[in-house]
Amino acid sequence: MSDKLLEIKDLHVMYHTDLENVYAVNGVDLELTTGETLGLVGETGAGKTTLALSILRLLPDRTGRITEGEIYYNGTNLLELDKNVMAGIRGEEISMIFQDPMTALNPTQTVGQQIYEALMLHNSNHLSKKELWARVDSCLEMVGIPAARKKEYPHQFSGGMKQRVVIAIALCCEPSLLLADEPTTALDVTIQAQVLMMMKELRERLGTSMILITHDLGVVAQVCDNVGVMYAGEIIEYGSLEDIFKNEKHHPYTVGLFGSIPRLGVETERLSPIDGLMPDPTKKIVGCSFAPRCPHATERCMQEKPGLYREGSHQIKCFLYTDESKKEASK
Amino acid sequence: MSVLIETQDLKKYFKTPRGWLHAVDGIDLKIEEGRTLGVVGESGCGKSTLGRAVLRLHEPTSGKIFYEGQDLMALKKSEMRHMCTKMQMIFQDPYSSLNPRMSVWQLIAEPMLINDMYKGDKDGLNKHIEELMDTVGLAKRLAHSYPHELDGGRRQRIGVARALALNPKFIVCDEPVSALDVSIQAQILNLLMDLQDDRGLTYMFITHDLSVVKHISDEIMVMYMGKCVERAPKQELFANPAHPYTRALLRAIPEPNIDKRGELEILKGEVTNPINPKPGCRFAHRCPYAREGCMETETGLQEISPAHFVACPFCKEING
Repeated sequence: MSDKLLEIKDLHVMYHTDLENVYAVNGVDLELTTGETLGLVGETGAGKTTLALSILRLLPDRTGRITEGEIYYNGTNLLELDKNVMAGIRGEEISMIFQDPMTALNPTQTVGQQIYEALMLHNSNHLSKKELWARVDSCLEMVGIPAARKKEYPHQFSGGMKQRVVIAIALCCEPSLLLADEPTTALDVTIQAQVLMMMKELRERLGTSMILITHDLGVVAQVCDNVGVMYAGEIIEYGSLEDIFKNEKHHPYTVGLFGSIPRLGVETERLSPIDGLMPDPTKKIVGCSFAPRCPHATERCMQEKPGLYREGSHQIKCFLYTDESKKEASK
Repeated sequence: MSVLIETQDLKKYFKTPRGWLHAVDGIDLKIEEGRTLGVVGESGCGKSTLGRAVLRLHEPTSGKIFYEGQDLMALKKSEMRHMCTKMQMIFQDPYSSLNPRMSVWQLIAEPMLINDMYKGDKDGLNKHIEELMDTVGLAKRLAHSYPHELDGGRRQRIGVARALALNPKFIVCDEPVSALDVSIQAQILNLLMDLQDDRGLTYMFITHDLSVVKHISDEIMVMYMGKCVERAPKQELFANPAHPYTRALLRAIPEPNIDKRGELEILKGEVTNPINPKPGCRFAHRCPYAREGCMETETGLQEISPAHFVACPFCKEING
């Protein structure tokens, strides 16, 4: 087994409706090693959630389609697996924390039953009912909820507690890969800090790899090892935390993203937002997807897709840097 | 500078089957003309209720509100409606605060039609709407679009245009950017600040995001369970946060700075129920410095340095 846990190659995902086709993910390449935490940042509609759903093959049946690409998990291509085999992997090997804890739980079942359900479906060790319920207790205690509360219903829990239940469900089968889709966005800051710290601890204890989807650069700086910046269905910049937060070279979109957030530590008179809006995802983009909003855009950006500029672990998809490296190479 | 808005011991309680919910419990505030008061707190602390109570959208349970010295609580309903031309509100969610069956033009015209601003003068009305759309950065071609055709940022611009339509002096902004993406959020924040410079507007800016509030406010009020726990000018509050809750709140924010990794301070527990609260400091059961007396005696705001008010008698000791 290589240490590559997950490898995505040239993934394209399209949503197909009666009226139009939406190009949600346009050629994503991604690698994740065992034990790594990858942050995926980007704005609404960048394709972050679609990417996570594709890994689990949970795209809506009728409309969502993976048109190109491969997703390898421990060397097997998930996209070629039989439905039943995939159902076994989902939850047991790869599991997901959904964005909104208020709607991710079933209001008519107790939280204990909901954790029990996941354990029962993946009961490969043939544990007895009693043993499974003991696991439910330990799962709840792991996320800091007294086991006695397993008989309560979701509406009896606060937002932060519900999110803990959702995390307990996701982690109860001890998956090797966890996809966390905006796990703290719906929570208050003090509760967010509690949940983030708890996830960090559990990850270290269970050795889980994680893809953390968020739009909060602060959360990324706290939790992740590597960062991918997504824009219009592409990863336009990728690198280690150092590369993204310290390095001088950046994709113009990343620069815009950092310029848009008011910072606590830094005094800014005026924010410098990115002009304009995300491109319409129903149209196929020729050239660089960021070009219409980019202050450095040239004719060429509109017509050609920029290649990948690499420097160590840092990758940027922009002509600004690919040209530079060519010049240096010709010298 | 003159004080535009003032409240004295403003209270708003809601009756629930389990007792009285103390949403806003004795708030004193003063906002000077042309300045911005930021109100921060976590969900359920009563900040939105406070914003609405100031405009009498929620009828306050007790207390006084003054607009340019005029007692708003003494006004009749019809008189209060007239006051609304001077005091407006921008709502949180641009997805649900706009009537989906009205076009952009109708939405912006609505407040002016209700208040008979351009009776019979259709050209004047059209001109004003065009100006407003221009001010908030909406293209003219969108006048006959409907909200569902627009993205969140543009919808929030409609909300801003509606609030500006009657030329108010005071605007309550209730989380106007929380539902928006960061790059759009920055555009709206810049717009609000430009409008303040151009028109001398006074804002009460309600948000849960401390970095946003720091960016836009002059003075900041931190709320916890219906009470103000700390109030200070912006620089002072961020330089010397005195109340344990404010300090915890500031340290709980993940900063986009990798040198400060792992410095999140974790506050135990959660906000409890504000129904029939017990006497004493409401933060006491989560406070790492709580001592015996905190649970029993109510603590009012004390001025620890000029214009810096804190509701914690031990803050000096705690901050060493």
